Amino acid sequence: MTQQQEELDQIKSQIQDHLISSGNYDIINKQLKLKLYESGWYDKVSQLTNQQLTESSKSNGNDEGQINFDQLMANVKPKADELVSKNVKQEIMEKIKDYLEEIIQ
Amino acid sequence: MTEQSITFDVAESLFEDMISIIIRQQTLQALTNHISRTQQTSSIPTAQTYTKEFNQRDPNKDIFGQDKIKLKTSETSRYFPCENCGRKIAGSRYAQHINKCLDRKRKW
Repeated sequence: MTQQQEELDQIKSQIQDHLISSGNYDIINKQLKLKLYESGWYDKVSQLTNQQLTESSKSNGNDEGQINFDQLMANVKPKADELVSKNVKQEIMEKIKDYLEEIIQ
Repeated sequence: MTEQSITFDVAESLFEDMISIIIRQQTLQALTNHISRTQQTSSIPTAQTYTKEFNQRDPNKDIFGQDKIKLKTSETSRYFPCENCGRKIAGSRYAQHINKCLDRKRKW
């Protein structure tokens, strides 16, 4: 890891602390969740996870202790990341950037 | 690295953290729902288990588990006293006997 990267990580963790303690994290997180709900992302993701679960239980012959959380997460995460619409990402990114510019000044 | 690109990088990584936490929550919820669902339904006996039990039952026994044939023979081999003539008549012949016995009395 380069020195620059280390510094960047340090800055990031400081910003994260400030973001949470100032209550802005909650606000942005709520907005993000709302946007995701509105875009139908939650439905798509739950459909995706349920599909994965039924597939895994079928292939395991309906045994108990089928798929574990890490496996499921590894299958779902990349697809769920892709499902986030560009508009939602852009809007939330704008909000985070605004906040960052505010505290940097 | 310009200041703008640093802000962009930090903003993107913060956004990714948020999304990954939400995905984690959703996945965990779906998994717990799935597990509780499968455990609940597996404890409920299916129609198949009922029919299996029904097919495994002994055809010679009634619903109380008593032997049908034994029950029948004990019923027929039991003797009942006739109120009319005082003789003891086997259960299987009792109806016929009463019919004739009362008839006989009427004739006399």
